[in-house]
Amino acid sequence: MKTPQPVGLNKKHRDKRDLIFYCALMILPLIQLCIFYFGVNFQTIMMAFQRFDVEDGYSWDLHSNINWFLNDQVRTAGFWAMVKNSFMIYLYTQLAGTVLAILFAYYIYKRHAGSLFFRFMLFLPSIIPAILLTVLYKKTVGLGVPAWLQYLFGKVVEDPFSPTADGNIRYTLITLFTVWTGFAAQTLIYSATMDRIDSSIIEAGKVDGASPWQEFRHIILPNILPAVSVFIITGIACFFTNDNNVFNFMSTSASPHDKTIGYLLYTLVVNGETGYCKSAFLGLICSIILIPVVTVVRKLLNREDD
Amino acid sequence: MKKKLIALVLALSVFATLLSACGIGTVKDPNGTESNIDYSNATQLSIATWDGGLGSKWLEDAARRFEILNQNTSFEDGKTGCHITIAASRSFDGSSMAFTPLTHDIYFVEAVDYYAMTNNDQMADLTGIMTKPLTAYGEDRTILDKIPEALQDFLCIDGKYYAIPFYESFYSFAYDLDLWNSKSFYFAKDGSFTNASGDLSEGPDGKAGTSDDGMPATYADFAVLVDHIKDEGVTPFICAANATDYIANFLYEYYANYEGAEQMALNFTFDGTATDLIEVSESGKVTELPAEQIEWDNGYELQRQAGRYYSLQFAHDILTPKDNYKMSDTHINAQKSYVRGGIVNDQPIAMILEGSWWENEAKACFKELNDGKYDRHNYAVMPKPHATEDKIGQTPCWLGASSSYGFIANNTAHMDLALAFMEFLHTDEELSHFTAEVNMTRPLDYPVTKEDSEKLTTYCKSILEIKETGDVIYPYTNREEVLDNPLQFASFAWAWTTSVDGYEYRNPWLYFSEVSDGSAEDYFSSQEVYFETRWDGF
Repeated sequence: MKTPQPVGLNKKHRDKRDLIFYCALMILPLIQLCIFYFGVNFQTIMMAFQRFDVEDGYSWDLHSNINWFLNDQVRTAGFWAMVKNSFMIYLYTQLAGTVLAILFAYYIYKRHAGSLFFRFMLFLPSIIPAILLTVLYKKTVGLGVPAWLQYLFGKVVEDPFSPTADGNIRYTLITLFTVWTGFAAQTLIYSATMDRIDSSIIEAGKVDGASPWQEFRHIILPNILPAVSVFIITGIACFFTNDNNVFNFMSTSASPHDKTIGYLLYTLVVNGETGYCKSAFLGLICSIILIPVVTVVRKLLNREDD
Repeated sequence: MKKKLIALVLALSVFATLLSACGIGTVKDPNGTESNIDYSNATQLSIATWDGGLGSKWLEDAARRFEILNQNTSFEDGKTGCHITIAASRSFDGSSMAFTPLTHDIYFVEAVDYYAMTNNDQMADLTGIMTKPLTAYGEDRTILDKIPEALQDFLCIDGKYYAIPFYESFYSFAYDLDLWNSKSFYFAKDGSFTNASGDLSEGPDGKAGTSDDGMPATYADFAVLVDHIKDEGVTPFICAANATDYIANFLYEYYANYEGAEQMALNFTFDGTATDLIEVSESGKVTELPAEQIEWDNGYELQRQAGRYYSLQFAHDILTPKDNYKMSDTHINAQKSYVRGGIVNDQPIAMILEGSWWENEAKACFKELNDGKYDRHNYAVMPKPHATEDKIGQTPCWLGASSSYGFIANNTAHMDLALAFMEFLHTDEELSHFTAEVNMTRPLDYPVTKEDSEKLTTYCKSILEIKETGDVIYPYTNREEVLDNPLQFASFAWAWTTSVDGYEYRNPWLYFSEVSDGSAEDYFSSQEVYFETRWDGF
């Protein structure tokens, strides 16, 4: 018996049209990948071995970048304060962020009171542009809250984001903002992953008399572990690039005690072409440090998953 | 019937659109004189400007005058007259222009990286119009003749010029003349305080009968004045959290004022004898160092100039104590609080720490006052007090800092018209109109006409006076080492970058605000070390 042929174009023509469609679909992302991934990264790596001067443009000079890194950065207390801040931000976003995000996601997954509202609220940072969210937060916490405190208690409270305000309070508030905005993304991914868990497994657990904690510990957590691993790995990969939103809050006038390596990388570039090579070199060093760490952590987590 | 009416309305709309597209219309010049200009066959020119403190009205007015003047001139074959459109926006940011294609014919923008843009061939060569006498406008001088030498040197690349300096700004305290008079904030000869018509002290210039009479002559006087202002229930000064750079620039001005034009120029030429280098011990003991010949190789020695130390002391003692100022969140809100202070709300403010564009930028605040039937106050640039008594009478020195330029895009399709308009804008008459409109000056030498000077505010008049009675230094250099290291040399970085206890600071005021036991001595002493250790890398 012959297989019925589809009506319309013959196979040869169909294949050709499919190929054209496939090419049209893929060409844009491929161009984008070539320019913005391979092109940019290749150029950045090249820049790490160059220096820029106004008259001659870029020239090969690794020595000046090494000098700058060792003398102007590594040997200063400011650099190590930035490393420490980067580490602390990583800890806050990973530990506090991940643990809270999983618990919160579980709450939403269980459809407890207000879960839809919380889900909506958590979506907000994803909908609103980061800079707008920063301005809203800065105005609300920096101006609105002090104004209310003054209205209620008659005491003048300084804008905590003012350059003259207490540095510790400013740092804490900025870090809370970073954790909150990162927390939202994690919660949504985890709750979506939980939603995809086969309901029959949950029901089987209930039939066997599993308590909510046991359900969470033995069913939910193992099922969302791949998503948690992704966040842990990307968190490590972003260790040196996370600027803790300091530039959004403080622009170039951030205190040396607020800065992170991510902030340094960013401000070097903001300051013009002469900073590109230094930033590229520092980026390369950070990558050299992080690539083995990320690889080991990934292997360990994969082993856990298996 | 209804359909016919709709059709009629639509037809009329189309006709009106066609008419406006043809450009048949009446144009008023800024004096109100009407002229009928036919734009239908005119050469189009598009100008982009940064919509900041200066706004764009000065450019609109100049464009209308130029259009009327040239309504019968042909700038390209088959066309007559010109139609100039102005695009004013904060998106025209000079700092990003070196990386983006230019889509307008002419630009008047700030934060321009002149050397990056010329390297990219983005700016058209203006040498022709800058070196040709403006005889067509009844002048003997060229545009270049009007530009100060230091700026000429900076702009000259292989004998060619690609941009014309736009506006100049001075950072200072602006003080409220009316408030000072009503509250008696002027120094009297006997050291007490009096109003403007009292027996005033001689002020920083040490001469009686000049406009700085009654002003604090030294930093010590200034400290006394600040206490007096507070005693009267007035906030001494206001500044903005989003503009802390203004404070660093302001201190740079005080540093220049101590040094004077000749010594200050060393910071840009790196060639000459430094005569006031000092060392300061941890306890604040100042030791004068012998004069030293400065060249590039030992340029870092200029970090020991005494003016830096005294300005740092001023920052530490007067600008940092929190009860001496009010910190507004933005510079616009600071201007608003200042303009309304003592008039609408109940907290008067004696001074604002700002750039000389602030009064023009605060136009909306003044309009609000006017709409509310309040009279605005008059303001003036505060003459800078001296660090020490022996400096009283020294010619004041100001820094005409700005990286704003006017230039023609190299890819313009209307080069002849663009060049003609640029030439027109830099005639004495147009420069004078600029000052009258924005109450600011351009770093060019031009007289302000009598008619225009009558329109000036007291604040602008005081700017003209500081230019007339003081020396203005233009902090520009085309030394390759400086251009290649903007992190250490651009803007106020050369004046204030340091590393104290391993932490890098660029703004002394932020340092003093953050480090409670930070001292001017620590900051000053670390500056020379910071630059000396990096000098070979520049």
